[in-house]
Amino acid sequence: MNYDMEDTQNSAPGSLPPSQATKLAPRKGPDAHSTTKRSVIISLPALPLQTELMQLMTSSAPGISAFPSADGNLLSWTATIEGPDDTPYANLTFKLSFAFPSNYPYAPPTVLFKTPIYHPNVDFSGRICLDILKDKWTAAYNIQTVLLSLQSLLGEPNNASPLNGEAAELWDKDMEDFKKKVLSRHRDVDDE
Amino acid sequence: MTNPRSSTRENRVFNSVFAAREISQPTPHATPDTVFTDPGQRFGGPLVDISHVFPASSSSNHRDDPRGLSQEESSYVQDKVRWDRSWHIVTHALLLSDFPQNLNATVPLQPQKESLDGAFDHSLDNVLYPQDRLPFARDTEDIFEWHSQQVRSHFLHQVLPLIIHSRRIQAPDVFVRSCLKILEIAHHQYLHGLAILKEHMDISTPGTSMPILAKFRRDLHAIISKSVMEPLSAALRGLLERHIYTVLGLPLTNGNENSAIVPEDSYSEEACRQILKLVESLRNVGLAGEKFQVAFAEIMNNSMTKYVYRCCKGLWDSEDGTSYNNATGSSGKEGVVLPRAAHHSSPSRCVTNLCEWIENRFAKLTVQVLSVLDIRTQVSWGDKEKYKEMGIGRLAELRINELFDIVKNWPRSGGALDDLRTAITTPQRRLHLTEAFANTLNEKLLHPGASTLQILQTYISMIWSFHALDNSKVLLDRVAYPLQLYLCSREDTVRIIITGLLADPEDSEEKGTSVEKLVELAHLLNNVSEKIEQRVNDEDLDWHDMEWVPDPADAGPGYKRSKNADIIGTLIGALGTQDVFIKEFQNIIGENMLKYDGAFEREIKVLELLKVRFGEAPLQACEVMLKDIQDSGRVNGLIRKNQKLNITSEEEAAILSHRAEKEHRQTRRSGGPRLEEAVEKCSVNAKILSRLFWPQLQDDNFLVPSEIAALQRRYEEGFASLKASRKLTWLHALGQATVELELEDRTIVEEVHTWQATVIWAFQSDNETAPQHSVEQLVEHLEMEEPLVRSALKFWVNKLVLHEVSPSTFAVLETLNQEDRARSNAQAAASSVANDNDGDDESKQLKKDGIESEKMQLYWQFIQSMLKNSSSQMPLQQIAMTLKMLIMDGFPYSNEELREFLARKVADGELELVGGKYKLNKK
Repeated sequence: MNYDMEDTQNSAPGSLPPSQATKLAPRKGPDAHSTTKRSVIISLPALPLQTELMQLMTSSAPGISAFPSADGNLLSWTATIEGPDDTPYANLTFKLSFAFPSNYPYAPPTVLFKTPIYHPNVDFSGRICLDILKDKWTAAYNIQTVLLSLQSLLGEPNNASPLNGEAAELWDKDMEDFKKKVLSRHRDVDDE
Repeated sequence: MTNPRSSTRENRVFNSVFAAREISQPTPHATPDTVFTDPGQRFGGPLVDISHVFPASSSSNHRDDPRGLSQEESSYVQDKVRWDRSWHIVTHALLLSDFPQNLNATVPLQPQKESLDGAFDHSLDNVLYPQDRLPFARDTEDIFEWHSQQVRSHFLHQVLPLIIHSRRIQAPDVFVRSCLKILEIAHHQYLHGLAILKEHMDISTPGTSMPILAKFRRDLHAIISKSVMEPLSAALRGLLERHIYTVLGLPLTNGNENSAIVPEDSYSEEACRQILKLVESLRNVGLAGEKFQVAFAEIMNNSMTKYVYRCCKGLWDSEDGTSYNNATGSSGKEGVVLPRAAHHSSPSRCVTNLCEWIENRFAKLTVQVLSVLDIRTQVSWGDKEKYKEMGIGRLAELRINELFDIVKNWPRSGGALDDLRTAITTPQRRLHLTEAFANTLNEKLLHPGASTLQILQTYISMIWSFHALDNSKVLLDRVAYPLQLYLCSREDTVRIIITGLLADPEDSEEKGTSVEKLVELAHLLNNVSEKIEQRVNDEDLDWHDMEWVPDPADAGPGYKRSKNADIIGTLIGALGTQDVFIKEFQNIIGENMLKYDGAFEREIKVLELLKVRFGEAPLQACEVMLKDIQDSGRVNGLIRKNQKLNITSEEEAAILSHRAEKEHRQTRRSGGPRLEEAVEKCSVNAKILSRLFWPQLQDDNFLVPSEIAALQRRYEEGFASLKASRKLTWLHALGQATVELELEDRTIVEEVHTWQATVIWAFQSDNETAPQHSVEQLVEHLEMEEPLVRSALKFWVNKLVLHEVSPSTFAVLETLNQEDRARSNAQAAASSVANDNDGDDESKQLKKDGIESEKMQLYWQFIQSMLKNSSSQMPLQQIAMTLKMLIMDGFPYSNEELREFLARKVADGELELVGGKYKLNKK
C-alpha cells in the first residue's frame, strides 16, 4: 500500500500509475455492478452444477435424467435411470439421490439408490460400490457420465467386489431366480 | 332574535322591578339618616359597635363634612346618604343612551359636557374618592367597574344584536363596513363617559387615570373581539383577501388559466389604502387582535402559494428568461433581489420574478399593515429574506410536483430546471425531490402500458434534465435505479437501444420515424464520441481543474463524479451486463449486414464506440463479422470473374420466362468462413461469413431451383480454387433475390427473399397451360417447411401474381382482366392492412416462433426432468420459480405464458393437471 502511494506521488500527473490503472478497469461499466449484485443469489459452488444441468437438458441421453431437488438446493439432486433392455432390470425405473460436495467437481458426489434394488454392487440401503464414485473419480466426470456408468452397471455387475453376495452368486448361477428377486425387491418410490 | 328595541324595553321593565345597579335609585332626601339594621337589632336605633364594623374609617379625617357630624353613628348615616346621592347623580349622568338606529345621523354624545354642573363634579368627587370624602359610607362601589359593567351589558344587548342583524341582511362587504361603523360609534360612546371620569381624575389626582383607562380598554376590546370576531371573521376575511390580492396583483378568480400578475396601478394603490384604513379601524375598535393577525397571516401565506402557482406553473421555458434577466439589468440588482441562499447559482426567470414580487409587493404590504397594527415586532430585513426563501421553497414544491412533465418536456423546460436548481439547496429537499420523482415515475411510467421506447426516451430526458439540475449525478442515481431495474425486465430494451444507435438521423428527420426508433441516440453518437475520450482521463488527477468542487454531501459510497451527461454510456451500463448488449449488437448488425450492401459506416462507428467502452476482446466477434463482409465483397468479385458467371447467366436468362436473381448465403459446416453470394443479372453473389463468429442464423433448408444450384456449384469451385482448405455451405433461406416476372400482360420486378423467389420459380412454365400447385405439392417438391411455403404464396397472391383457384391450390394469374383486377384488388386490400410488409414480417414471425419453440423444447426438457426427478407433481408457481432459478440465461416468460405452454402440453396428453398441480402423464 505504501509502495503504491509513493508511486502515485512520484509519477507525473498525466501518466497513470499502474495501481490506479487497475482500479479504473472495473469502472468501465459503472452500473454493471448493480446487475451482478442481483444475480449473486446463486452461490458459487452451484455454478458448475448449473452449467451441467444446462448440458444435461440440451443433450439428453435416453433412459437417464436428473434434476435438482424441489427445495431449490442445487447441491442435492434426484436422478432417474431406466433399466436397460435385455437385463433383469428392463422396464423398471430407479431413483437415485446425488449429494454434491461444495468442492464438486473436484470431489465425487455421494450417490445412493432410493428405489430398492437387488443388485450385486448395491447394498440394501442403496449404497453403491463403483470405483469412479470413490478413488477413481476425476473432475472430468459429470452427472451424465455417472448415470451412464450406473446404467451399464445394471447390465454388467462387477461380481468381483459384491456388496450383495447372494445377488452376485445368483447372477452367475440362476438368472431366473435373480430376475424374480429383482422384481420382488423393486418398488416404485414416490416422494410425495 | 327580536327587535332590539323591544328587548331593551323588556330589560328596563325587568330592571325597574329587580333593581339593577346601573339605575340605582338615590336615597330620598326625606328618608331619615338610617341604614338597614343588622339582624336582631332595632330599626333606626344607634349602631352599637361602629368601630368594629369600620375600624379604619374611625381614624380618618372628615374635612368636607357639611353637617359636621358629632356622633360616629350620624356621620356614618350621613356619609351613606351622600354616597348614595352622589352615586345616583353620577350614574344618572353617565348612563348610556340607547344605541342609535340610524348610523348616519350624528347623535350628540350623552351626557353633554355643558350639561354637567358643579353638583356633578362634587358628586363625582364623592364617588371617586369615597375613603377620603365619605369615610363612613358603607358599601361604596367602584364607578369604573360600574361603567364597565354598563358598557358590557349595553354592548351585548344593543350593539351586538344590531351587528348580527346587519350580517343577515347585508352583503359581506357592506356588513364589514357597517359593523365597523357601529363599533366605532359604540366605542366612541363608551369612551365618552370614561373620558369625563378621566378628565375629572386628571384634575384631582393627576397620573392615576392611565392604568384604569387601559384596563377598561382592554376589557372592552376583549369583549368586542370575543363576540364580534366570530360573526365578522368570514366577511372580513373575504374583504381582506380581495384587497390583498388586488394589492399583490393576484387574480381574484379561481380560473386555471395562467393569468399574469397585474402590475401596480391606481387600483392596487387604492386597495392598499383601503386595507390600511380597514386595519386602522379594526385596531381602533379592538378587533386587530390575535385572530385578525392569524387571518392576515393566512391570507398572505395563501397569496404567496397562489402567486407561485399562478405565475410559475407550467412556465418552463428559459428562452424569454434570459432576455428577461438581461432586460431587468445589472447583476447588482439581482444581488439585491435574491435571497442570500440563492446567490450561488445563476438566477432563473421565475425565481427572479418571485423575489422581485416579494420584495416590492409582498413585503411592502406586510410592513405597512404591521406598522398600522402597531405591533412591536417590526419586519426586519431578515424577515424579508425569510419570505423569499419561503417563496422559493414553494416554487420548489411546485416544480417537484411538475418534475415528471418537466423531464418529459426536455429540452424545452430549461427554465424550470434552473428554478429547481436554485431551490434544492438542502439535502432534505434533494431527498424529497428524488422520492417524489421516483413515486411519479412508478405511477406514470413503469407499468406495462408504457412502451419500452417511451421509457427509454424518458430515461434519456431524465439523464439530461437531472444533469442540468445537478451535475454531480447523485440525484439521477437515486431515481434511476428503479427505472434501470425495470428496463432490465423488458426484453426489447437492448434491441431498441442498438437500433437507435444504428439509426440514421437524417433519415428519421425526413420520414418522421422517430416514434419507432431512439434516434436521439444516433444524434448523440455523432456528437458525443469525442467526449468519451476525455472521460478516460481520471478527473481526480486533473490538478488544473479550477472548477473543482467537492463531492456533494449526500453522495453515496462509491460515488464517481462525471462531468458530462454521457447518455449512451449510462444507458449501456444500466442495462445489464455487457454480454447481453454485445450479443444483441451482434445479432442486429448481422441482420443488417446480410440484408443490405454498403459500407456500414454507422455500424463501424457504433462498434468503435463500444470498443472504447468494453475493450477490444469482447467485441472481437463483431469485428470479424465486419471484416467478413468487407472481405467477401472482394472475394466475390474475384470468383465471379474467374468463373465467368456473368455471361452464362445471361444466356440462361434468355430462355427463362421467369427469371430469378439470387443472393445466397453459405456456411461451412465445421468452423471456418461462411459464404454468402449474390447474383447480378441472374448471377450469384455471395457473402462469406465465418460461422463461429456469427450469431445463430436461420437455416431453413429447401431445394433451390436447379439453375441456381448449378451456379452455386460453379461458385463453389471458384471458391475452392481460391481458398483450397475451405468449403462453402450455402444458407438458402437467407439473402435476397431480384425477380423479374414476365406475365402475358405485364412485367413485375420485385426484390424478394430467396424462399419467395423459389416458390414462384416453381410456377414457371414454357407452354400455354399455367401450372397449378397445391401447398402439399410445393412442400414436397421444394422440401420447404409448410409455413414458409404458405407465407410465400400469400406474398405472391398479394402481388397479384398468383391466385387461389381452390383452397390451398394456387395458379399464376397471367392476365389481369377487369374483373380479376377488381377481385384481386379487394383481396389485396383485405390482406394488405395486416400484411403491408408482406413476407418480411411473416418471416420474422416465423423465425421468432422457431426460436421460441426451440427454446421451449429446452424448457420442456427442464419441466419433464423436474417432474420426473425432484417432485412428481408441482404447482405452476413452483415450476416457474424453479425454471427462473435454474436456467442460466433466465426464463423470460411470465407465469401466464408458462401456464399457456403447460396447458398445451396437457392438451397433448403429456401432462396432467390434478388439483392445481402438474404431473407427468404416465403412459
